[in-house]
Amino acid sequence: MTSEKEHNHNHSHHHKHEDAHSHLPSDPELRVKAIETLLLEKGLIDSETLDELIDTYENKIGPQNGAKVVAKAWVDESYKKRLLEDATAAIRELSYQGRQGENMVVVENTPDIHNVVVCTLCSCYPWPVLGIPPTWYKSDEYRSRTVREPRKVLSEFGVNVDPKVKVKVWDSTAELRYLVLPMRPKGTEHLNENELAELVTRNSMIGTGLPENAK
Amino acid sequence: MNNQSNFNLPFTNFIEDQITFQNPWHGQVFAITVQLSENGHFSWTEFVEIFGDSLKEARLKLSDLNGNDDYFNCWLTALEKMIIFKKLANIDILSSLKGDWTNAYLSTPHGKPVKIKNRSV
Repeated sequence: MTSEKEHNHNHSHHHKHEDAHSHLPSDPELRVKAIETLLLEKGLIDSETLDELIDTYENKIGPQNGAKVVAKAWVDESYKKRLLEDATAAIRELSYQGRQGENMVVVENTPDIHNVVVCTLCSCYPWPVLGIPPTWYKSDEYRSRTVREPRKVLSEFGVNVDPKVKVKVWDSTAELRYLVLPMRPKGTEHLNENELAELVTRNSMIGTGLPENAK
Repeated sequence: MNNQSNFNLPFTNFIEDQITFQNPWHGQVFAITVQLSENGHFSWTEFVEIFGDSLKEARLKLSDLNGNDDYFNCWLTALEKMIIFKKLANIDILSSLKGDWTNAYLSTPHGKPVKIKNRSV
């Protein structure tokens, strides 16, 4: 092979004028470059797909998808029934499917039950409807404390669950991923599906938040 | 139940949580792993097992993982283990390539594209 691997040096940070050589990346960055170089050379991965994957999860797939699922369930009783019976199929009706969404379960918040989702093993999360998990979801603190003291964790997110309301913690796995169906806020009868979707926050679909109130 | 302001609460210390990948290499290691899995080199369940172990090991050494760099460090370690286990690479080649990139950065004048000679592997 005669081609050369190249890294375009277009970092936005500032260098001191006396820097004679390029800024040396961190140890993990160099390890990633080593893996990427090798796998590209062997043809096991391709750059176009890598870029597309990063772009997809940075810009295209996110909680806005899940918000549409929730809003539809709020306005369409038969859809809600299908969603609670077979979430994977019902979510696929809205064309949200694919990796890490193969086996979905939707758990419904009611006046008596508040659901919250965690992954104690690592960070299993329903990518097609929520995108990539936020940093706190991946932290040890959230992963360990949510099981141990869910009410306290929820209160730290600003969700104070009435002592009469049962808190259920769902542990996502590589095979099974949960999405919370929050309760429709009061005073939203006049809103249409799209307007309702605007009220559905990411955290409300994990259980660490509530939908926004109607303006 | 009410939705209080969560200003200054512990979990909101993760202020950067609206950004998908805090660091470009986080996105790269994520995308490499997903692509290898989708190309059939390992199942996602297999990866999650190794990744879970890697997180546990790290927790024995560090106090708490913050879900940011240290989380993706564990992801990277898991990916390295997986590709070695699946014989997609070996540790010597990876170390050597890492050395090549290090030397390339150290020997390339600032502002010039950093390159390594391609090798037959």
